[in-house]
Amino acid sequence: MGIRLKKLKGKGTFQRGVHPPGRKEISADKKIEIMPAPGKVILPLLQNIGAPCKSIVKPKQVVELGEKIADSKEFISAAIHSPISGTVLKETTVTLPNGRHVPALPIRGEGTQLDGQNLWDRLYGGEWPKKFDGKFSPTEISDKINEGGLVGLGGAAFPTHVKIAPNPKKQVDTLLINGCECEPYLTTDYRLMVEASEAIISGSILGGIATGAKDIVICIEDNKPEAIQTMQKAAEGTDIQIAALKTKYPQGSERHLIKAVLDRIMPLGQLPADVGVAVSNVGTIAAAAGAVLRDTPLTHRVVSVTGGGIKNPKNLLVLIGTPYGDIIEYCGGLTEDAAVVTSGGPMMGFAFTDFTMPITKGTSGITVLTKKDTKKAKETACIRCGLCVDVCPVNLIPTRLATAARHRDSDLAEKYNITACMECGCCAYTCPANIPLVQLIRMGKVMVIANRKN
Amino acid sequence: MKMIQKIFDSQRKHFEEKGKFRMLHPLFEATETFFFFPGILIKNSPFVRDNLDMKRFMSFVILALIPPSVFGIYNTGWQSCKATGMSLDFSTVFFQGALIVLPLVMVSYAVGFFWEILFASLRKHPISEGFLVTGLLFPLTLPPSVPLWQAAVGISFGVVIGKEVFGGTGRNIFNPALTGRAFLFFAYPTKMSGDSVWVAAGSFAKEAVDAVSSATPLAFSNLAVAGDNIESVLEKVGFTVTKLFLGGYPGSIGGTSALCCLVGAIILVLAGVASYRIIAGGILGVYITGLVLNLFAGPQANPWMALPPFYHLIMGGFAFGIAYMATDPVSAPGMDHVKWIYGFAIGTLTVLIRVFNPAYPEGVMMAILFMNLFSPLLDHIEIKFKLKNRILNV
Repeated sequence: MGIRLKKLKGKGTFQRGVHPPGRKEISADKKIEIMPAPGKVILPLLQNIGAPCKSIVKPKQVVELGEKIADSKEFISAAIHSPISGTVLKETTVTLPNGRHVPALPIRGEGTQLDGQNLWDRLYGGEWPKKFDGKFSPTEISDKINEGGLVGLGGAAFPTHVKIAPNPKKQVDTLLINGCECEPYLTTDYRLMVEASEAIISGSILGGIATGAKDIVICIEDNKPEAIQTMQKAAEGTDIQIAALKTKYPQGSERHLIKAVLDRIMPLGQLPADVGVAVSNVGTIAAAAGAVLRDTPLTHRVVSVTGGGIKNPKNLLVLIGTPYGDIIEYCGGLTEDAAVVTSGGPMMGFAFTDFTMPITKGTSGITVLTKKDTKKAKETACIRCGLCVDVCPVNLIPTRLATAARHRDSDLAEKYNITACMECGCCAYTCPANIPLVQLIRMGKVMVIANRKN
Repeated sequence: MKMIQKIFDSQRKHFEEKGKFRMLHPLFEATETFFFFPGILIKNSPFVRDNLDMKRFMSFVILALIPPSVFGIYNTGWQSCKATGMSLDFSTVFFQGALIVLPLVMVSYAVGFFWEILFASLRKHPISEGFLVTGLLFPLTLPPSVPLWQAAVGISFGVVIGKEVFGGTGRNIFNPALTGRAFLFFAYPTKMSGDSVWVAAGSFAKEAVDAVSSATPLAFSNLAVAGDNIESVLEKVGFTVTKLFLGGYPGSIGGTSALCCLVGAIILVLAGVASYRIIAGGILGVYITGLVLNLFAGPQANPWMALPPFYHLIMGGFAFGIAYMATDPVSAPGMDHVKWIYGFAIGTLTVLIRVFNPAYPEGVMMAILFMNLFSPLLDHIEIKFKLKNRILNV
């Protein structure tokens, strides 16, 4: 499939980056299944970038599906709603796969839950309008998104109402809907584009109204021809363009998407709005359509449960707060040669071992790698081959950053722009010496930021 | 494989912390990882890795070295048989070549490994796969008649002074194989240059000849006087362009065939081991410098000036040097753009040394070592430039 960018300036790809094996075939053809509600959900009170929420319910209080249970007064924050009807239990603390200790509210499910096809119809099914004729004002849309507690479902979990909102200071002219899903294995966005294209289109138009963007572009990597076709068909009769981008990791990064589609460069420390762009994930925009048109808050999300180490790979619509263990069990459990379970994909995901932990709004998938998939690696000396420099998509010098971090040289790390690293893992993927570049750089970033504060 | 695994498992205890051979742990580890992937699982993201790890990296270089090695054996044998009047059928030639070349390779590996294991055991760092490459590269750059003890001294110098004193693999400034060769070149010039070293008689020669006088194309070229045309001088002694390209002439063991080096270079570039930037830069450097010198060529001038640049590419060790030596990741710069400059400078220096300093016909060795010295500086310049112009370039 060629690169089709009709009126757009970009070349459809970006410089550098890597081509890890996609392995999307494991779960690509599995229709989204609706997983029955678990007996108990655990809702961490920090599921977004920004300020944590505070519980607004009391233990033993009875809550309904979609009832708000935690909120924050801060602007960059997103409210949390109950995905289940039941009773609130005592607040606990959980450790999320990324290592953060977060207070959490467990809720025990009681009575009958909205389930199966009914749930699907409520969230994604049915008719989705393509024309609004001034029915919603921009602020109305962003308020409803805020009310629904939406965050970016691609993984970063940035509160959506901050991005999809009228911004008088920074005029946005283009809204990019990110359906790249460049992370290997995961098929969450792909399945949504194939099965819930109408909701995505509806949400995109609403997003366009809210941001004031003239152009709306849905960006899909060219290894998903079916998604491109479905979206094209769904977009008929609207001004929405579909851009087929070259498959390369990390195409789904905001910075690289903007470069590939619009040929604009987003400098370090700036947001897409600074270059006149708003970017949103397809899952987020579909959820936004629901929040605006049907008043459904973000209580469920689609996750891919995939990899060679899971018995029945699936794409599941699950309740946010469902423990990982329940989901893995629903998929038949792990195979014998399963080696690593990660939350998210293999490139940027976090390995975890505590299966009682819940999934959050930002969990895009569970990847179970076998011993064969995940190479065994032993660190050897750097041979200065420069491969990491060759692949770094933000043009850094990973090996020097890692050396600076290893020797705790904060000044040197800062001089080499360590904070520009987005931890995509291209360098560590390609390093023949298997140096843990991402971990060292992550450590270096913490060190640099701590030194800045002093 | 199961049997081998069992042997390793049963012997492991002797090499661990309290075992009796704990000094030799690096050797055990190197042997084990030669057969199996190391038993350490990736604990941190990314959980998938490229297949090109260090072992694969080095294996590809060895693979790419096979064509020049095999041809080197054949050519050495052929030159030797021809000089000593032996039959020129394929098996004799090959056998004769193997008799001359294989001992050199074995000495190089054995002596080199001795130093490598000694340093690894004392310093408790793992044995690096890099030596497998150095140990093969080194003998291929030597003239076939070099005595074995000199090869041993050369590789010792290359490994110890060229690499280990700097802290081992990845820290060396110069290419170890070339450092060893340069040492021999200056320590034993009579065995490394001149007209009598490029064809080895071998022990099975019918007549007892120690070394046979036979000049390399570069040496022949130096016979040309002002006003002469090097091409015709070379043609007169039978060195046509095709012959120079294919490599059937006296010279260092691995370096005569530009074709084999080209094949090797393609393998290396496709596997992502060698940088095409360095190779392309080097060829451009030779070509452009050659063309510029052609402009100054006149009847009274040095005949080298008038030599078409293409000859520089196929004569002497340039093809071997630029494909295998200049692309050594450790001693070359790591940044993209300066790799072009690095390669270009090697090409330019090679031609300049050949043209203006006939005392060192093999200019490429000096050129690469000289540029090795500058590669950290080149890296530094590019990084400085990069940081200065940084609006976070995507």
